[in-house]
Amino acid sequence: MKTTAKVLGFLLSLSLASNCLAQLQGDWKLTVTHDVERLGVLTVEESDDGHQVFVDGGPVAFTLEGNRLEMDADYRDGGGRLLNRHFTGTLDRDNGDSWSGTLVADHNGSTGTWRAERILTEVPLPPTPVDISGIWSRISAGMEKVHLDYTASAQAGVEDYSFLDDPALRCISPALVRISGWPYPLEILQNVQQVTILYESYHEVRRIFLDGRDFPESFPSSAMGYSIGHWEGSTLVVETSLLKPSFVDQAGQPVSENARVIERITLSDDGQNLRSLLTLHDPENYLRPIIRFRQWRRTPEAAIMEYDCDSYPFFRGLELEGKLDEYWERMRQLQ
Amino acid sequence: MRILIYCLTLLGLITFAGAAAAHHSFAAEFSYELFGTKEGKVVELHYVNPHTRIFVAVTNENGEQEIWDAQTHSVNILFRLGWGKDTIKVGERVVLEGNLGLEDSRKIWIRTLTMENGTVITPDGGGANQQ
Repeated sequence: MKTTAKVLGFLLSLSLASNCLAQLQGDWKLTVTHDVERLGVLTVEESDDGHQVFVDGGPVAFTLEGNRLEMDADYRDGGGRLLNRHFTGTLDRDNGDSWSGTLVADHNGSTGTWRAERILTEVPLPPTPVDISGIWSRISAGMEKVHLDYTASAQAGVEDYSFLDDPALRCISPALVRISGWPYPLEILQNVQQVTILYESYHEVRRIFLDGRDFPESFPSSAMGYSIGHWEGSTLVVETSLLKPSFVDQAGQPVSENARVIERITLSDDGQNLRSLLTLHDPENYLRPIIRFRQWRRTPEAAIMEYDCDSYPFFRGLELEGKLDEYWERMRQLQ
Repeated sequence: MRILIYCLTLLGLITFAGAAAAHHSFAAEFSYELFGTKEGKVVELHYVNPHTRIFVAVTNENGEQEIWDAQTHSVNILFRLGWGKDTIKVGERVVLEGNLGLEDSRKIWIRTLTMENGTVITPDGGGANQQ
């Protein structure tokens, strides 16, 4: 009798949890304060196996009991070490369906806070451009979610990745997705027809054409791709394609030549913060779009420096380490 | 006093430095657990992007000379942390302390660099202690 009651209770809790998750389906804007403010997107989806939860397009472990939730999301620290944030919190159903709580980093016990608010479907608005020109310095690159929803070939590529494959170490541009999160300032120039972004990193330049043109029929692919944009209300929406193969970050998550990147760039009400919700659509490598939510602050006092890059020390280091032959072989295989 | 100024300046900017290390994979080349100290003469100095690298001639236990590959942040980041182009010079003797390279490689990520005159420079550990 006691066992039957336990089983019924368990099934009831499963059913309740499932119903709760069903109500939570959709996208949520995640704001995490853990050393700095980090933005991300939490997605709850129904699938054949029940419900799945993702942060920035990467699966996370998630449980919900009543109004209390727990979640584990991996990330990399400043040096590239794989770590985990454990989230706990509650769902506030009386306050417009928002979540909030605390988090702890498993490796060192550092703590933070977080909240999530539902992302509402935006009604298309007539263009009302805002002035985003100026010098901007990075606040954070986002949640830095590491494990993503890979295709089989991408999974194999990630597992085989070596720092020898990192083009940035030999002064080759790390490309759009990765460079957009780098810790160097950038300068934006703007007119009605074009937004130009000058990155300190690798001297990269992006021209975002706002004149209504489409992508060219034939054009060489490049690290930063070809970008066209338009204003939806005060949001600058940028679409980029014609990208060369590259990586999402230093862990070797691939970006294919057929990838498409959408950035939704917004200015804070006080004009001091710039945010870019970057979505990578790359079905060759990922089963769902990957998100990186960048954030900068206005720093007119910051001086943009020249990016004096020299690949000699990298190759000299490989020579000393006895890895030059391995490097050449890997490069031949990548061609 | 000079040491104090360096340390205070660098500690004040440590948040920037932590963010700054987030774009290259320290973890792919260096150990988080193994630390070492190497003393030798600077034979090559590359104060550049994407990483500043200092090749140092070190005499090992058998009296043989080894070249160690010492790395730290890019020149742009070091400049913002207070380094100048004359902070280190080729030919100087230095003591390096930091994270050792993986696979017994002769690499070290600089946590402290002690000059011949005793000045200690601490470029924050290169991501090893961030977050």
